[in-house]
Amino acid sequence: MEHRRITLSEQLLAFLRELPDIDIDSLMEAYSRPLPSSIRINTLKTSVERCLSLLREDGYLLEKIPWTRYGYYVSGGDNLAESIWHMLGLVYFQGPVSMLAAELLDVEPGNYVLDLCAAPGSKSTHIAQLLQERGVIVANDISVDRVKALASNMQKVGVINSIITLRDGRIFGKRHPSMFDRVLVDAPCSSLGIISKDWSVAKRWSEKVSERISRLQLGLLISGFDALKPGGKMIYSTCTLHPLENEAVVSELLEKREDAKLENLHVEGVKTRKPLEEWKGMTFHPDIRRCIRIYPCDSGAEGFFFAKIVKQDGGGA
Amino acid sequence: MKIRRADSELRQQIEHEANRTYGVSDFFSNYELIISGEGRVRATTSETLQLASILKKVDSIGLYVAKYRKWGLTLSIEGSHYLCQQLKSTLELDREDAIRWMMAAPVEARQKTSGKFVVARYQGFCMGTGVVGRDGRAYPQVPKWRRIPEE
Repeated sequence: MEHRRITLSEQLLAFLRELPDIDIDSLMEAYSRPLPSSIRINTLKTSVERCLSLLREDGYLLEKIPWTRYGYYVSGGDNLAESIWHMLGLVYFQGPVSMLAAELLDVEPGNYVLDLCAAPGSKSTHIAQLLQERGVIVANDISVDRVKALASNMQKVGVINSIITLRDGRIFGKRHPSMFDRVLVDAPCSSLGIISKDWSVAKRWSEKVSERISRLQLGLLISGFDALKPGGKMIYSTCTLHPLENEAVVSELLEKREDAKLENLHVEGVKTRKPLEEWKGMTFHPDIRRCIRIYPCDSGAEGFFFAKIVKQDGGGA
Repeated sequence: MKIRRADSELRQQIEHEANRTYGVSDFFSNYELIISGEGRVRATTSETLQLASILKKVDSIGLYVAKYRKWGLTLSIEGSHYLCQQLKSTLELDREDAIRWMMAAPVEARQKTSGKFVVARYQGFCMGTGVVGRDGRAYPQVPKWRRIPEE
């Protein structure tokens, strides 16, 4: 696989060195490799078996991603992104670890699901697939341009039970409290888990970026939680490694909403790391250990943080 | 977004056109039909429409399945995908022509077509409507963002 030389700022290197339980050389090695090409087979339009057969006939090599039901690494063949099968919506390009967000949400057909920061639609289309045309997926985003991409992807995948909304996710929960069985908050973040995909991330990052984004993330997370029905489940995910955007945000939600509880997360097929219990003088909520971190050097792809939050019955928002 | 649900009269007209042009006897009868700009017909479930009616800042609902204009009804790729089993006749394409179709390049309509519209099919997958020209070629109505780029 192609390797590229990557240079990180001193500030970013200093931050990464402070993370416990990580070998900086392995992380740098992972950052220098391009992300693997991976697809999700769209079972709204075809079966896994049929799709695999069509792709193999066209010379593609496919290898199952162990932690997701419909995900495959793809290599060989012509450019799949410009193939009939991609244009018809039989396959969707998505990062392998990113597929975990919808997988961990425990979506059941018939659920009302809100994807609060949905564009460009990778997770929303995945959720729609898991709904099997029963229930509703509400895919929201704040950006007009990004909603266009979201709408295009929902169309291509063939989602009939969808509503696309265009609004600030931070006020969604206030306007529509206790409405959804499942909520996904895949929050905007500093993207330190996907530096190999976008090197400009490494150049733009500073401690201040993470501090600023964490306030937005908390607003989104609280809003998503308020939109959740009692008994409902929510996934909070980011593609970054900074504890201010991950553990600190979730910890604060637990302080602010007494009916919010964390559930244990367990993923087969990829090494997961324990979350940080403290950072620079901050001590996080003791239940934070139920969350997981996945590092690029462990997945061979993106780095992510996941938390699964349940709204208890009988609590007040 | 103002939601304009197709009333029963409009629905009947669309169903009639779908039957006349494509031989479709069940045009999304289990779904709600919504009309948006330029005669676009979107289909969705009743509960989706119900939920949309109480949400604010709705941008779009359901799936774009067809375009209904005075001169006829064309099916989107997804509309034809849903109705694929019902279509009375389709233009069966080989790989080369299927690629041409997805480039929005005209394809020779080798099979006899009864009207001015035809739905193409490749490996069992319906690929939307093409307009059959006087030259006997089908001109696919593939939106720009769905096209395979030309080399």
